[in-house]
Amino acid sequence: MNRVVDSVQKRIGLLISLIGLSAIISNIIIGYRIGQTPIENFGDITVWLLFLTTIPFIISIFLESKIIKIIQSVLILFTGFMSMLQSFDAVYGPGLVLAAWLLMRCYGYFEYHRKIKYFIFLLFVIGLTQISSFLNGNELFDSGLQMLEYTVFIVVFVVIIWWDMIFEQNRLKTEIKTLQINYTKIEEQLAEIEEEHKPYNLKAVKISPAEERVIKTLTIYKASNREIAERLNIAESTVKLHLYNIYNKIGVDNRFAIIDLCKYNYT
Amino acid sequence: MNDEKWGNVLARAGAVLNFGIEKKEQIQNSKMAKFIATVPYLAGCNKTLETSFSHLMIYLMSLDESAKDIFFHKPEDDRDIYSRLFPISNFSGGNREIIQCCMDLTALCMLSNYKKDIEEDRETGKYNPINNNIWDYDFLSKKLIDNIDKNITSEISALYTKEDAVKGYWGK
Repeated sequence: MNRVVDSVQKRIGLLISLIGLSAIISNIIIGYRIGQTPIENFGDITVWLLFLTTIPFIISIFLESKIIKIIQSVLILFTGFMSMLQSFDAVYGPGLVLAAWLLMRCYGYFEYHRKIKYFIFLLFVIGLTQISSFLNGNELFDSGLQMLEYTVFIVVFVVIIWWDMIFEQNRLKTEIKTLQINYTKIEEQLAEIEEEHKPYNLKAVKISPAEERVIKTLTIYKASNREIAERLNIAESTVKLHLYNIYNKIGVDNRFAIIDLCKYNYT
Repeated sequence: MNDEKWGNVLARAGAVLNFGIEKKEQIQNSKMAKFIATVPYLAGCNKTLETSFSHLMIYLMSLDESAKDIFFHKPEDDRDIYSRLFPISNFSGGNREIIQCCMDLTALCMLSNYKKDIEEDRETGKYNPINNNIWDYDFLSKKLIDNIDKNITSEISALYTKEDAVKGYWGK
């Protein structure tokens, strides 16, 4: 189970699927109690709608994608708006709209143009409450206003309770951004260092195998001519000749320049 | 001075003096050689690498058959225990107390070396200030040890101690 519900999307999918399925079952039970058979009950459009709405949430338990997240948010928001339109003074609508708002915030849909999006959200809530109130025989800005006040109260209440968490979340986001920038810089520096630490291409300057043996001994042991001769079992004059040729091929004038150039060739 | 820097200074000296494997290993393991090369680093002198390299080179040349007689003790060195150490006493800047302590340790090693070589020098006729009763070993060594005890630091003693010095192994 842990593997399946390892993200908000999957957890929300599981929760709403369970609620949807239990709502279908309870609808069937209620239908049975008023004398409907299960087959008649399945003929009821409400049960089918509930079933169809639950399907995307069941899929979202197993499949994680941006589209699934959008479908989740829109379905909850749409259901909330419809509930508000149907009954302006019921708690279902504002509750679902609030749930959709939290979910969309969690999915990062308010990262950009936050103020405009919040304003549109608020317009819909006010508009739908007022239209619903009007459709139910009230004057505009009459009973709907009380429901609006109630919704604002709930939103402010939630924000007050979660204020510290929201503040901390924003702080952490800033820190993460800084760390990401630093990480990128470190990666760039590392790439530069790796570039600097590349072995010197001896083949490019046509170093012979015998000369390379001299370079290797010189670089590893930082050896004198005599030490190179002893280690390679060759004459010191041969070492001198090799070094003379190596200096000319590489374009340096001392042994420590070769050690410096080739220090990453034999590590 | 870390091992890498010591290896680098020694490698350069070895290349100049054309050391073979055996000689290089001998110097690599020489406490006195490493100590002399490290003093500028311990004291935080200016031009550490230059001073370290030149002092090490002088020390190594003083051990070489073809040059060591130049650095032998001479009667004119009797007036001052540090006189013979003059070629390896040139420091620019740095902590004077640390430099003095290091030079005292070096002088103690040199003095103990004279004492160790009394018989040999007598036989070969080589000038030795202790043999000639110019220097009193007990008096001078006590004076040097007293000075060392006053100024020695953990960094110095990690490299060279007064116990190392009194053994008198100048070339080791």
